[in-house]
Amino acid sequence: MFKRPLSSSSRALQQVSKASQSKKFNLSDLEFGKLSKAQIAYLDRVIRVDQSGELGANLIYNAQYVVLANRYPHLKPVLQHMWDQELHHYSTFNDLQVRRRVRPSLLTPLWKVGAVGLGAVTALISKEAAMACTVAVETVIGNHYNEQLRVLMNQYDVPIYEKNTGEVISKESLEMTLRTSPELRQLKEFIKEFRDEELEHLETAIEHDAKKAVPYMLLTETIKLLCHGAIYTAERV
Amino acid sequence: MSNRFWSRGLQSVRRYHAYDHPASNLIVDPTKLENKLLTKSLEYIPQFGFSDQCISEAIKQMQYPDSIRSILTASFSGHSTELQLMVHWLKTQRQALDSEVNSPDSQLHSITDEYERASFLINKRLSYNIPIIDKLSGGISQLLVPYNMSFSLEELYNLGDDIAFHAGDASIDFAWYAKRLSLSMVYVSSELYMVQDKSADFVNTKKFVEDKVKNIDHLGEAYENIEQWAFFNAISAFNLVKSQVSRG
Repeated sequence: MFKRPLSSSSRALQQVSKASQSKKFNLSDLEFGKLSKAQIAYLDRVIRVDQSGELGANLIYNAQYVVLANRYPHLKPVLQHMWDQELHHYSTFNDLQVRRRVRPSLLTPLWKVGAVGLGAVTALISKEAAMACTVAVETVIGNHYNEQLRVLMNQYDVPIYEKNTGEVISKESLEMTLRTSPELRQLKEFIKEFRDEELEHLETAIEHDAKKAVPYMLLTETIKLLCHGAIYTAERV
Repeated sequence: MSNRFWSRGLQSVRRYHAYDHPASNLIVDPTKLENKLLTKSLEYIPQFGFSDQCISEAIKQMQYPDSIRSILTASFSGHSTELQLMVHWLKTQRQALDSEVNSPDSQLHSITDEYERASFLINKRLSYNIPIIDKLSGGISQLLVPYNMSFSLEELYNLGDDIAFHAGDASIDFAWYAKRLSLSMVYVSSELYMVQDKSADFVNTKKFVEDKVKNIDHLGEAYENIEQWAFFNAISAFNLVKSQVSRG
């Protein structure tokens, strides 16, 4: 009932918090409230699926690089750049998976084989098909990261307490950076950064003639479907 | 039972650990009435074993009305009070192990090797059994009833995960599961050994644990060696074929 105050009462609340604004809080004064079971479960899924996804992306670029780098020397730095970024994403999520005590996907061996296969087969068809594969994968991953960000922004509104007294602190009296726990803020920053880089890869792939791949629609739509299936499974298993 | 087991399955195993939201990670919430009652009941285990009598005694000592018992008998889980007592015992001991790890002057912090840490943790956890060692087999038999298996396995799995994590495991793929499984198996077999162990200060159990953990270490090494060997041979086979088919 207090979550959605009427407009008049919310105005009143804001006035109260302005009055108490005089006190300035540091991060060390705050204790962030308990996350619900559903919130924990979602974070669990986020880390597991992102780790598997980055593992896959990393191996796709790896396979593309092996097949294409010597045949088309001008693609070498492009692929290398994308691959390096994926490696950084992958190691970040590996680190999170270990430190946050999330179990890795049980199907990790399958993701490895599938990703190498996908990267190698599309690269063997043609360099345009490889780029079309990148387009499809990065589209799905970009959207998926955005969806995760939306949930992490909207659904993680936990109460914040003052550490010593245990009193609830109103969010309005805190600076923006203190309104979410460092842990969640950092996770969101990672996801934002990675999403931007994935979309950069998408653009790079289009600049390198992805749309000239034959049959473009069939390739991209099939790969998108595969990615959606993999995401659904990696979240759960 | 099997249906319930699979529907809980992977979903029930331990979840994301939220460091900045400490209340999310409590193993036993001490403010809950049923937990207060069960924790008090644990004090009577050396006297009565894992039986309903401990709970009656705790109710009497805490001067609660007898009807408070319904908080356990009508609980959502539908377990017998004996099993609830046993599960509560396991959870509080896991909590105790957690506090041991988090205390700055624990001996654990001076050990660096992952497997030595694991055997230290297993021995530490086993040492918590000493005050109730005579009654422990009664509690274990509760866990082995097929209907209760899914819950005891869950608790065992969580213990295995705690041990692996605090030992410093950083595996990111299938090894993650293998390690937890093998550490859990070591724990179970050591506990069963301990119940029978008549040696002074349980020295035989300690040796048993160390041997078993060393075996896991050797097994892991063997696996890595085979993997490296296979990878090396795959590459050299590829290069051999390449050298034979290339023109020039």
